[in-house]
Amino acid sequence: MDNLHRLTELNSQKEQQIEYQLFNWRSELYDANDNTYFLLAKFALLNKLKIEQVNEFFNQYFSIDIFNLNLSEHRSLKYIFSIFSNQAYIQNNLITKSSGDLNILGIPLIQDYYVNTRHQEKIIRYCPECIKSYKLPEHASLKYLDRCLFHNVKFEIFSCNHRVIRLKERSVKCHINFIRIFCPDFPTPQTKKHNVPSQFSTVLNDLDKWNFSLKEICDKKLGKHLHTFKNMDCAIPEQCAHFVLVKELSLPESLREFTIPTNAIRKINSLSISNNSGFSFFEKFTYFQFSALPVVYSSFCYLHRKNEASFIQSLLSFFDELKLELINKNEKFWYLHENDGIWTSSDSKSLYCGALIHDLLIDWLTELWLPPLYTSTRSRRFQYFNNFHLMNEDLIKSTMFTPVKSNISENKIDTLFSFNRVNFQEFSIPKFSSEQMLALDSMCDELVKSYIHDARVWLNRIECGEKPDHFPPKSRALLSLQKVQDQYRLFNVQID
Amino acid sequence: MTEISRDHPVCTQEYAIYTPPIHDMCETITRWIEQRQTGGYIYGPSRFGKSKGIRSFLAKILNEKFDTEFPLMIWSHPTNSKSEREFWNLLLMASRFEFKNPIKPKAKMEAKYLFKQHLITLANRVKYNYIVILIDEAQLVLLNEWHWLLGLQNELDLEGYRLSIISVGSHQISFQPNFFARTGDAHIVTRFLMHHARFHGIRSLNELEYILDGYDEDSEWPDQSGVSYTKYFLSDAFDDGFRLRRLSFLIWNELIEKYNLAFKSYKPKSGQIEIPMNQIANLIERILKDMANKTFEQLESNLSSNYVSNILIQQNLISQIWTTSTD
Repeated sequence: MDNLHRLTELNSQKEQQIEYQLFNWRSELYDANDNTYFLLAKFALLNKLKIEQVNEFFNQYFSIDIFNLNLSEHRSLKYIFSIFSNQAYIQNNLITKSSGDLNILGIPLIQDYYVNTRHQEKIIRYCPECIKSYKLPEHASLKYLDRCLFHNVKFEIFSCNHRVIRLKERSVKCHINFIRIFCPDFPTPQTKKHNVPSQFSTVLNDLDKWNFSLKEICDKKLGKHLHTFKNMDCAIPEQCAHFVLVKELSLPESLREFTIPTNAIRKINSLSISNNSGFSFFEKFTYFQFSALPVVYSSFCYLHRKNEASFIQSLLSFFDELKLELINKNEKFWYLHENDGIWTSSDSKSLYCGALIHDLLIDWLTELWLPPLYTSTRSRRFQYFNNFHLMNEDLIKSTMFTPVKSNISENKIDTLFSFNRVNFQEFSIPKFSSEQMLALDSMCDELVKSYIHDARVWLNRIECGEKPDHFPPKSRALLSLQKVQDQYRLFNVQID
Repeated sequence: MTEISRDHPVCTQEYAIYTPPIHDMCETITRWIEQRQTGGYIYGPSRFGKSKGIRSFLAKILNEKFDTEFPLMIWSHPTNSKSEREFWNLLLMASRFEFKNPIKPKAKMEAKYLFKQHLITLANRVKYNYIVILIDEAQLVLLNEWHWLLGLQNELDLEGYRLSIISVGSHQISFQPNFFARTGDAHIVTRFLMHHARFHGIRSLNELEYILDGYDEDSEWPDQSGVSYTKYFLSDAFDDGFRLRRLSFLIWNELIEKYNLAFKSYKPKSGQIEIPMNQIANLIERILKDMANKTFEQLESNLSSNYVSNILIQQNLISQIWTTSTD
């Protein structure tokens, strides 16, 4: 029989081969750049599984808990899906390496893949072109990117109503909902195939490399964060950090067209506070001492070095400017009734009352920078000077300030101040060297300029006819003190 | 004296011997697959070994032929499926789908979706766009079920996958094409029942020798032991040179005699002898069990034409042959 050789071979094998079970999967549904949760969502949909069942499967066969994926498990999952799809596993630095947590001028920015892709918000960013081929590139979760690296189209946002979804299931479930809405034909293959043009692989490589070295670049360019003297109100901190990241952290040229537009940023400058590398003045302050430093120091400057400290002069000139403006103004005055926050205009037919906005600005800046000039109702004054007293006490602890009444015992100081806290009393004076004063002067100068700028912008808008709706003026700049390679620098990020 | 294990495949009847009719059937199915036929059916009397042949050898032969794990699904049709939901769930249960759950059947659409995706998965994993479903006991497939399969085939077509339905059943299946064609369902015939082939019984001494070789040489238990079925039961005699093949002439003669006796007053149209494989297997099993551990000499003296004839009579061979030949 001609078939005998085959028979021998067949029968030598185990007669009843154990057939292993198969789950549903399609190789074209895998993409090395796909978000891991999106892959899991596709898997769940294709097998009509509940999230709990998906977890059970991956837990049973691969010991992976999909509810708490860490970096290595993300990597493992991607590898597993590449095996399911009979495709080579392509290492991707966005996932295989962690760039660590960044601190961009005091704003913590978590760059780890497993945190970024996890569903923390109510949105999923996606590329409208990629989704046609059932792809959700993981770089869509990097918020400093504005456009898809494959199609160069703007990412869109899908808002997920996840009120009824259990917390641990949200990451996968929201992606399932997303697929159900955007891909009603899933998993039927699209007629038009999605191909990654070759030049984009270079861009992706550049992104991988850059993203991985961000921590290093950040440390080199922005240094160590010491204190944020002024926060930005006009942009959310994370967005602000992304602006800085794109603008300042050596973004590869190839990626420039894909990142968020940074024209919202007017300028980023860094002012060197000290030229001497041995200058270690700011290391001594704690967070609260840093907060107290500008107001206590400016109070001292107002009383003792009014003519030398240019920032005091700037403030006083701005006050004069406001007063002059008020004198020359003859129409439409805006008033704020501080107790109930109601704005009234002199044009309105109803009775107007409250404080004039020019006066408000002067009071606000006085409160921040010139305690000796602070006047308000008795109860508020008591609170303010009490706070000022505490600030002084805090700074005395830093040993950089000495109490003014050093010859009076501590208990007596307390008694003295408890009587007089409704009026200004100088409590401590700095014992700074001229170099330290110079450094502080330049820092305060920059801070005061920023506050004045905020006030001007706010006032200009009102003058142009905009109805005021908030006070004090929103901060349009972030001022952060950083130590960059043994030098203190004050970074000022301003937006339009 | 070696004790015979009750777990031996011959005792449990859980084994299959590759036979020339199985070979022919596999060749036919392979040819249909190569031609990308949308369907075809194999018919033959029951107890001829169709089902065992399919279950034990078809997948292996296709894998060997196409040098990959061929996307094949074998489904033994139950007596009747009452609804479409039950139909898709039965198919899903018969598949290798990981997440099937017999206790909790899926809804109709869900089961159909999962089954379709499962077929695509089978094809995809070996980079094919072709899937074969082999339905055993296909004579029981109802018209509705053929329609549902037709729908599935169309859906897969739209997704770029070709589905072929190979049916294997008893003679009744060969009446279906005629019936469907006359009752307005000719499209079912053209899709699934256009091509056909007969599954034969054992027709010659040569074929019988081939089968006995299977017991002597091309079988093994326990796995990887190198011990054939004959050697296991007739160990000493086997070492002394005894082979079942030596009995082929004796067995064949007895089979012919009984066959002629059965058809004394009636000759089948083909006029050709066809012995059901089941009868031969039962005979061999009986010999192996009766003669277990006997020496060469004892076998020589015991294995006579009378002994074989008695077994065949006890097995009621004559009425078996009559029934299956006029099936």
